[in-house]
Amino acid sequence: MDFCFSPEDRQFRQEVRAFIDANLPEGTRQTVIAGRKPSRADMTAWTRALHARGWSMPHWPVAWGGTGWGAVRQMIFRDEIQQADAPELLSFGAYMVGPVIYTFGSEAQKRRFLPRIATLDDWWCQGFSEPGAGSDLAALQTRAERQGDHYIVNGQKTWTTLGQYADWIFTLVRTNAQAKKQQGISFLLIDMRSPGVTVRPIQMIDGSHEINEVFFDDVKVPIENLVGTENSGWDYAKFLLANERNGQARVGLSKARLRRIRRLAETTPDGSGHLINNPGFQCRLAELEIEALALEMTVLRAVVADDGQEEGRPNPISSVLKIRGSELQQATSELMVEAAGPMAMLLENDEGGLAEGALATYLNLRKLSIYGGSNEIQRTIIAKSFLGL
Amino acid sequence: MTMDFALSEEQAMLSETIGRFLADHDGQSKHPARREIWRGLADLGLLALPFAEADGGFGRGAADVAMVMERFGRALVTEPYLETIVLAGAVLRRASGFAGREGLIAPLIAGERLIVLAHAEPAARGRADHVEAEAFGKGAGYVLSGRKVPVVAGGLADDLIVSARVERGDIGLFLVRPDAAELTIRRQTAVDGRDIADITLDEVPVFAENRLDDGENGRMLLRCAQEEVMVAQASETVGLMAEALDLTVEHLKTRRQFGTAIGTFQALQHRAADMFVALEQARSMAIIAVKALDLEDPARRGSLLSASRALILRAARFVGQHSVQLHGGIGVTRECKLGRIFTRLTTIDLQFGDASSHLDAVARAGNLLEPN
Repeated sequence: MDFCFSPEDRQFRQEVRAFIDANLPEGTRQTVIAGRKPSRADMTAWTRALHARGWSMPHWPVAWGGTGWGAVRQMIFRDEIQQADAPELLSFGAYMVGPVIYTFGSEAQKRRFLPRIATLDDWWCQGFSEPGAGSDLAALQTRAERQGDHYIVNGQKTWTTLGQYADWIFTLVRTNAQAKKQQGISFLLIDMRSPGVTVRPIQMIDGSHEINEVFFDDVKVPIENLVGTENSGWDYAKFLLANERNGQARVGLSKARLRRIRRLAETTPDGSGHLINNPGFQCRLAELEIEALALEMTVLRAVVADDGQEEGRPNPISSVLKIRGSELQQATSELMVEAAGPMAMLLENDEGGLAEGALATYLNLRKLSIYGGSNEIQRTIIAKSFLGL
Repeated sequence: MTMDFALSEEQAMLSETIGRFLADHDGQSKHPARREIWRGLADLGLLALPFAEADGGFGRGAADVAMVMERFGRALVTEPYLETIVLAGAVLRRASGFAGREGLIAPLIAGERLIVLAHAEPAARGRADHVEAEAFGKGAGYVLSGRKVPVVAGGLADDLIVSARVERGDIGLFLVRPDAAELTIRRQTAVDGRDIADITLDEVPVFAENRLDDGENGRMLLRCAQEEVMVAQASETVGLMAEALDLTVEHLKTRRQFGTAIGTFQALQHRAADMFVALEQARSMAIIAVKALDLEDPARRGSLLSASRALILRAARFVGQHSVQLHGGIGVTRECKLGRIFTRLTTIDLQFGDASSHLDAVARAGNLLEPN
């Protein structure tokens, strides 16, 4: 869709591309292609390379290390990262807690946390979901009781992505059990090394250890780790979730996968020919390429319309992007498995191969339509906010 | 350069004017080229929109035509704008060697004459370059034979532009009077209210000066016309879908069953949300189509336009069918505007290549996404 961008923006894209080419270690790239999570060391090295160029947190305010790029360049940057199979910024710090801290946090919190997020010296994870609070997030039960200059936190969080690496967890906790459910919630930052914090791994269907349960037993949290004001946490959570949804189309990942599928099909035998010449397969591939093209324009339209608006403002178009983006990622991962065919189970472990991790990725990506506000929740948002139903 | 996908101030004003005009003149006229409406469109300058200023037009591009077509879609206009101004117009604008050009464009723009491209043939199935009608040199001109069908608005035309293979070689374009004795027109009113002609030519004589192409550019003229009509119809389709969704949402809010508005039921809300998503994707593809028209590489342009048409026509099926379903019984009647929108969404798929053929074209061409 290059022809839809200005010459200056196309030039900028080349600049980003050249930087990634020159700085992304091949091993890290192959890890991303195979759908595995890069190690903490790999993530830190990559984030520091970006930081040295001034690009580790491009969307942040310039005062805290941001680039001042407009919305279209932010989009191009993320698109290039995704298309190059580079690790995306760790969203928990970059897109979630970082913006909450620089928007609602105290000066001390900003100075303490933001620089360490920008270099990935601190690894953050998200403590929102609970066993009884998924789509109905405000039903959360984890409670924090004030005792002098501390909160005592008790409860359980779940689906905590990469919590095993985390130094810090940002949580929603109940600080007023009497108030209406949205109104008794606070936004609390908790050091993962605090006594009473336990992390239990959960194995996913692809065999990976990506998510965890986190238990809090009488965990002491200093009151200076409260963000903003007590019992206003729901407002900050809404701000955070609005930011989270904006990046969920991730068309660049789908485009990169579609290109790999094409390359794989060109060399995959199908009877006496190659899969790429199978008309049924060609059509499947074309359908997804067309969908990717349309989605890229839908993202661009949303980005342009949103440019200059304040952060964290809920924009229901992001629900459209989330639905189609997750569906497209799932459909491309499915077609990748189909392209590998009966050999998928062998090629799965073919290190450096085009189909490496294809099955695991397909299994893993079922999460996309579930997390970040399930696609059913998104449909309800569209029905209510766009259609007025 | 700033990027903006909203209408410019000027476009928005024109769009609003068109909307008001169409509201005053019920878009669903009994006669497809009801002269009053057609004159009104001429007065608004819409018939002159894509023609060069030197030809008495406004020299506006595909984006403006797209805006007009979206309005026409919303209002379910059946007047033959697409067939005359867009399709025949695309040929006339480029037929620079044709001496009769100005004499045709002026009355066309003024709304005084209807000029229609008679190109479709049964075996072409929407392909721009498939022509079986034949032209052979005879005396100082040609004779044309063959069958052109379905030619939308062909029966209303004051002049026809007929495509034919010249001496079994390349494709030529010829100006033909519909009242020629050797030409038979069978007219029908199609299910979408349009006048459809089945035209048979049996050695129709044509003077040499009434050949529009220069002997070599016939194919190019037809391809350009096909590309411009695909872009224009993309926006008509988006307009139809947007109207279908609006009507459906309104119905969900007002229709009551089980003591409540049916729009409170989640199954129906989610269906409507999926229609909204499909419409937004289609809208994006209509924008891509407009921009793709400026690309120089014909293969790339063709792929993108086919991609646009494939996605939009599928979205049209999806939005159309679900709109009817959510309307219930009233949706399958002609008294309901939605029923008529659905009918039009259905016939759009039958011209200029259907969703499957354009998907097939994208699949064969490969590499829709730019290399990285």
